[in-house]
Amino acid sequence: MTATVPETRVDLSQDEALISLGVRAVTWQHAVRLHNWIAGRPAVLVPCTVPRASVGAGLSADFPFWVKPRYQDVRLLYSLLLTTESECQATIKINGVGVGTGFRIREQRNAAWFSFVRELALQSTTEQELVFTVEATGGTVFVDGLMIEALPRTSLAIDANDLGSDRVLLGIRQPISERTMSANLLDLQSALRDSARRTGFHISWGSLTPYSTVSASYVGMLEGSIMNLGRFLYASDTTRSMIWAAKCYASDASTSAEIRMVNDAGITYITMPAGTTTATWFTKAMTVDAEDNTFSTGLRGGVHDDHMSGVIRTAGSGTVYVETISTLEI
Amino acid sequence: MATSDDGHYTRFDTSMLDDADFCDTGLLNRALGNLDHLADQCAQQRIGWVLPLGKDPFVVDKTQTPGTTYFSSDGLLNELWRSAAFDLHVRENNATYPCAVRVRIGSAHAVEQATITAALVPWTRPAGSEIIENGVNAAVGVHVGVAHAWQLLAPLIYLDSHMVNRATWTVSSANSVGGADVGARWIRVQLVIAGMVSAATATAELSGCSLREYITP
Repeated sequence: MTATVPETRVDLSQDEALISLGVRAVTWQHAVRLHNWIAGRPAVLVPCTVPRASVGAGLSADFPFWVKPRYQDVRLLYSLLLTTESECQATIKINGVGVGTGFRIREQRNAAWFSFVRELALQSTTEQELVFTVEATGGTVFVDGLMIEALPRTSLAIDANDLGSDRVLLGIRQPISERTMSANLLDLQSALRDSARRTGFHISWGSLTPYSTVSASYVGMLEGSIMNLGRFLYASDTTRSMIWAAKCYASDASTSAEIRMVNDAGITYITMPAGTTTATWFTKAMTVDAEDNTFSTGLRGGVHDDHMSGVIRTAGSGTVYVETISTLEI
Repeated sequence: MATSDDGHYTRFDTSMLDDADFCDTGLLNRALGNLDHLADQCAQQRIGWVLPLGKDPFVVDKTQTPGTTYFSSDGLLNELWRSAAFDLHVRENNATYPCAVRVRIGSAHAVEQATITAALVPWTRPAGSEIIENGVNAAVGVHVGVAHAWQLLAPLIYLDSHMVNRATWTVSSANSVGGADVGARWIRVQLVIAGMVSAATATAELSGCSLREYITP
């Protein structure tokens, strides 16, 4: 049993379901179509980001990201923009598996994005790491863009995971029972709400040239701030809960660090304990502005919720390294 | 325009969903509003980056000769950066969700200005012919100063029905892990950012960009 995912959304009219009026079956057909559209249209796992990292000839760099797929995600599209100042070649891997060698890398004006499709090992909503690897041969390669999207579904399984809704049971001229209505729309709606989430920004320095510091006071890791905006769901919403994640390590076992994220809601800290000598993900909950639908820009109070990230060495004498920062709704 | 009359999601108490009850039209009215609102909030962040500390901003390729229009003296678009091809949600009228674009730019000059345009360009289409003055797919920002600053471009940009048709592709997807290939239709559009300067002593520089879909009130 499967449900078709429409390519285009439909706009429902609440005026078609008013107290004391009969509700036409076609109204529910449209409702199920929109339900399946929300569940089946693809989400972004990593919005287009720019490490601007260089990978020297003969060297290799990983660009890791912390993501939470939707259960509906099956295939992912990985996009990568590589440039150079003198034509050379590169080998590219996705999650450790090669997708080809000898990619011809061109200068900026002639550069083109490479795209690769990879299937997930299984459908799940488990938070996980996805990694690009770039190996340069014959010249220095600049990583000028990365993005990960899910591909669209054309049909959904009719169950509580894939969240497909069966339109056939709401057929025109067919009697519609309360049980059918509950099972096909109402019972699924909270799961649909949780599934249709939005990710935030991801910044990666890469494993070859991670951000590094020995500073005992906070130092910024970015050229400037960057905005984040959560979904607006309930009438009283002003903020939304998200998490942010940092992949970091130290040059020796005695060094510890703290990484902070500053935004409108305040400051949250990730603590990297001493002994973290291999790159490890740490996560932390944070609060971000929820979209404000009373403003033409959607910004809460008309102002961007700008985020700024910094790092400090809290103990030891080694160097602290940060490979990636990811933000996402979970 | 936002499509939900309520303008927000309404929670249901599970006790309201008893099989033995009659259909409650008021409840179902809110269920429709919820779907409309969730569809509006499906709006995604498609682009989001600022340069890591110490990285050089994007400028026009050094092999070009930048001019005081969006095209160099050798006829090429003064392109600063181009995003990956990405999807956009399509509304009932076959136009995409509107997109808010924010750029972090500088002019590398104290008094001369840099002007940038950010345009949604269907994948594989030449950007130069898709950036139309006052087109619905392009917005412009102006900045004077060496220090870079964020600027939210106005108005929100989108692809109209004709552009959506040009940007729609069939891709090979699957409906289950290990399942058969199926042809799925989706949008492939890139954000192209081009720049021009008021004098040759200035440079249009880009150090950050975000693009998010947003259904306006």
